[in-house]
Amino acid sequence: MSAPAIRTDGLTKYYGHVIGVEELSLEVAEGDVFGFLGANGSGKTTTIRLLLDLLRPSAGTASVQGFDCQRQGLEARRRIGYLPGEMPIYPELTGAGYLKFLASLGDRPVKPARLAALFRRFDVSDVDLRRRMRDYSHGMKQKLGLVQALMSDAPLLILDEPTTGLDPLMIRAFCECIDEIVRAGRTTVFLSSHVLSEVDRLCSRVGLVRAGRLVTVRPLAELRVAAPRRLTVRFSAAVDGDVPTAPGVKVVSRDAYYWVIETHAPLGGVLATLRTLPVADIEIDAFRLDDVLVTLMAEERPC
Amino acid sequence: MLTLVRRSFSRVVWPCAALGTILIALQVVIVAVAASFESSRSFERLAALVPGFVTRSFASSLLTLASFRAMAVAGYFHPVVVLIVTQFAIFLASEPAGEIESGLVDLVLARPIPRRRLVTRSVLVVAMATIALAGAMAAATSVGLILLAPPGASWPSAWTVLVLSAGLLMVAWCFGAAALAAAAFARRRATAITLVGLVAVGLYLLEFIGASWEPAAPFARISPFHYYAGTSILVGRADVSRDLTVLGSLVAAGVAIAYWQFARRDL
Repeated sequence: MSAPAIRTDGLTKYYGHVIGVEELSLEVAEGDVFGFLGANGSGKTTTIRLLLDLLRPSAGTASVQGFDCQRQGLEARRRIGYLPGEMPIYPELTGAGYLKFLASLGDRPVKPARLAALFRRFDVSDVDLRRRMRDYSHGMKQKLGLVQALMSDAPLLILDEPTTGLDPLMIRAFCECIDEIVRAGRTTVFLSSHVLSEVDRLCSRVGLVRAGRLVTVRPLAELRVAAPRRLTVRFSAAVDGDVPTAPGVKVVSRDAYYWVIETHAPLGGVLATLRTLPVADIEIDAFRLDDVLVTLMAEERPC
Repeated sequence: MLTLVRRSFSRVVWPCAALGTILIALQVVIVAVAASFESSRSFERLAALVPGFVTRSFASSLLTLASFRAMAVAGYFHPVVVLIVTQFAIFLASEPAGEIESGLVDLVLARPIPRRRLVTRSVLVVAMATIALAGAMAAATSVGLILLAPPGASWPSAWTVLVLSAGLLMVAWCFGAAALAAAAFARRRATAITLVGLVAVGLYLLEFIGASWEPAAPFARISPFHYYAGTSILVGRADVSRDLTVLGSLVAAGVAIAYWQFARRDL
């Protein structure tokens, strides 16, 4: 069996008395698209910088594809394509010069065809590449950041807030790009984000950190199943009777013409009980990852 | 390594060229002034003005300094030149702190590059840039002598120019190494530059005070500038090998601290 793409074991980082991350144990399998979620300052970037050996852990270990991030840092980083949360630039360099410089630092060859495909995907023109980076907008820097992270076809992509500053079209392009990469091979994506819609769209599993501790790690599918569904039922005539009670069904609000029900139970049973009532319309809210995460943040203890 | 060195150089090529131009111009001007003094026999008149008891006490020193061949190379140990070259070395050596401050270190070290390579890169950049400056100064001195030296004037020897250049470089490297060590601890480039820059000025003043006020002389020994005495080199009284060894040891210590700290710190 091959080593997990990422493994941390009791990973801990203190900044003096401040907790960066504490006792973080996590496994991300090869080919997974893992969403690493949490509020600002919860420890997402600290974890990423520990994986890249930019920070030294106070305790615990981290490894990338079986290579210890501290003791075998070069081997680990050889397998990583990284997008920092804030894209640093050499203002005096052109976009093309910047990419050439970064490509020459790695030992994975950058295929011109791959680069051209990324330019097309992220709408980076020759004119853009000839401009100095000091003249770039935030979104343009971010696009170039994505290109440099993706250009070497690294088996592990670590992307810290990848869609910050991108317009909706580029966010879509990014999501399509990640989909393609994951479909094409054994690339693992470790993605930290505040934008839950993109996590929902891309990730197969999510990990939630709060105050430096891992709160939960779950497949997104499991979260979807476990998430309560909210039904808004409108009646064509006044309904005075009780709301059908069943395990997992909760009334959020009601009046004679209007019920809002939340249920963990399969929807079929709930709909069956409504069949006898003068239902005019039923509205079922779409699954919202942020609702689930807010609930989890409030409920779950660190694991 | 070459990529990193080239990248760093390309960021400082204009300041380096500007400083080189200033130093070249200064050397040529100094040689021109010395040539003018020599042509007008001002050195002889200056020597004649010196009281007899002073001449007897410091005969060889004063006579050597009040000469064309001494004045032509006075730029190598002029306070402004020494401090400018030293401060430039400090600026160059503080690059790792600048990279941490800007976040560029994340982008570079996220690739399979060992941390020590950034320190080695800075060592090479400081060494190469300052050698280029010293080389430009030496070339300017040579060109100035060829074009401007009066016929029959005694030229400074190539050995003197070499020793003065080596001393200037070692002093600059000494503070460059200190700045590199400071940059390995600092999160901001300005912190490393300000700290080491002020220490350099302070130590220069200490050496100056030590040279002119006897009670301060023992303290002046802690200043690296104490081991680069241009006038002593000109009159042949400097213990060049001792001085270069002391300065070389300080350089090695600073660089070793930088490697050690940069390897263990959080970036």
